[in-house]
Amino acid sequence: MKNLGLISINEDSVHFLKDEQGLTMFDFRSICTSIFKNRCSLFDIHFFFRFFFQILISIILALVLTSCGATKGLRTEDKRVVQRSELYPVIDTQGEKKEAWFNISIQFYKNENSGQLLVKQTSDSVTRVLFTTPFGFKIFDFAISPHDFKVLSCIDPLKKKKTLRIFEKDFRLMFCPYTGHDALKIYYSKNDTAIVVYKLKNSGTSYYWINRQKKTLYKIDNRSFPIGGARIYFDYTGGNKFPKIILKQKGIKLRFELEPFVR
Amino acid sequence: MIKFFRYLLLLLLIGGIQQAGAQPKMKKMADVNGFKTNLLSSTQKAKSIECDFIQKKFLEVLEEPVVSKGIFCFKRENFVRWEYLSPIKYLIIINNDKVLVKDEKKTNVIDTRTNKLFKELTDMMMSCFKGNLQVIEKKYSIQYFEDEKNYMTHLVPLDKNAGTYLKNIDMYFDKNDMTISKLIIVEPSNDYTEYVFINKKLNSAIPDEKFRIN
Repeated sequence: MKNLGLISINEDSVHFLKDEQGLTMFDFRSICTSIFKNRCSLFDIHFFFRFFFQILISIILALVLTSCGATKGLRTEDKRVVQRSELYPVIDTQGEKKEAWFNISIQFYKNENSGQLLVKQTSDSVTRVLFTTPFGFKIFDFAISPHDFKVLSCIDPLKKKKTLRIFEKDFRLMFCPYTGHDALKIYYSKNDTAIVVYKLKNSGTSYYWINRQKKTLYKIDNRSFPIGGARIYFDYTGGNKFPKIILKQKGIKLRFELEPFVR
Repeated sequence: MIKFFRYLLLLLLIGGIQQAGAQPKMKKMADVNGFKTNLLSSTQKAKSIECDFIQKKFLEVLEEPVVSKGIFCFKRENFVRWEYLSPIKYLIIINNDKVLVKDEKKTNVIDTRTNKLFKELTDMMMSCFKGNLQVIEKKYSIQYFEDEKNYMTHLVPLDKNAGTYLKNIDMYFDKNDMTISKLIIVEPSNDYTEYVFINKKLNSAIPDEKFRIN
């Protein structure tokens, strides 16, 4: 038998304990086994259910609060098929907006680094996203479409499932909104008639905030699980045909900052 | 991700010092030992190099190369300044064990002593400028070529890890002054970057201020 702070444990009994930092932990499988084998006391069951329901209520509250926040101040009116152009994508399939260069700065916790990002629409549905150092050395090259993600090249430290998933999600959000065949739920601002919000299933649930007067996409609010959502701001005030873009990843301290420049 | 940032800084350096296919009209070098001796003695005489550079990045996804321009400075023993002026301003300074990376908004200083791989690369860069090929021979297999105007060394990394991001490096040396005139860095995907060094000034008085990091 071992004594680990809150309650003593052995193979058949209680499994609520406190770690060195005083955080409560439990072995879910062992507890369930104990309950079903009827080997634990009422005291154990009481603690187990109290802890379990606390977590459950927290999750429900978080979901309710965050889902309300996304459409606060908006009224929903209709659901219809929306054309891709109505979302004012940063990169477009034709004309001057087919190819863009950005100075990109990536901040991950205390680390920060920069390079240049080429974004090019190579077909109606495929967007190439290529990151190079100022010296021209390629860090990664992705081909992103609404339902596909190809890693054409990527340096080894980035070739990790989690990292690639974050890049896939974030770049798809920024540059590859959707092909324009789905019926989307549409929200309108109660105060500003120029504001319209489209709800998309893109890397989780995403709300695309459009200013119809300025004909620009100015914000994307994304909620996704398990990576966590992201918030993206598009700023056209610099007078460029491409916006300055800031992406803030929720849950982890990851921030992308993209400043357009002309080659 | 943290490893990624280390790598990124590392690649910044590698880029700074890549075979765009075959070496056009170049033949095998007749006297490799003579070349090595000549390179070493010539570069030892060069206390400093100051020149303009034109960087062309050839990407499969683009029809036209991506062109950048700037100024390059090297000063003995271990000072390098790589300054981009267009289309965007960017600066890299190597001052012995310290590397400064500065863009229009931020400055980052790296100590190469804490990063073994990073140190290896700065050492390689310095070996190139000092004409000391012995250091490079340990890390790369080298083939030697020449034509009327240039000597060329074709470097292929021996290390498998290096081979994942670097296919080969071609270094062109001007036969007149034995200084680097062109550098081509080829990636495994066959995208490549070409650096051409022009308007070279040897042994000009470059103030130490230009290499100051702090």
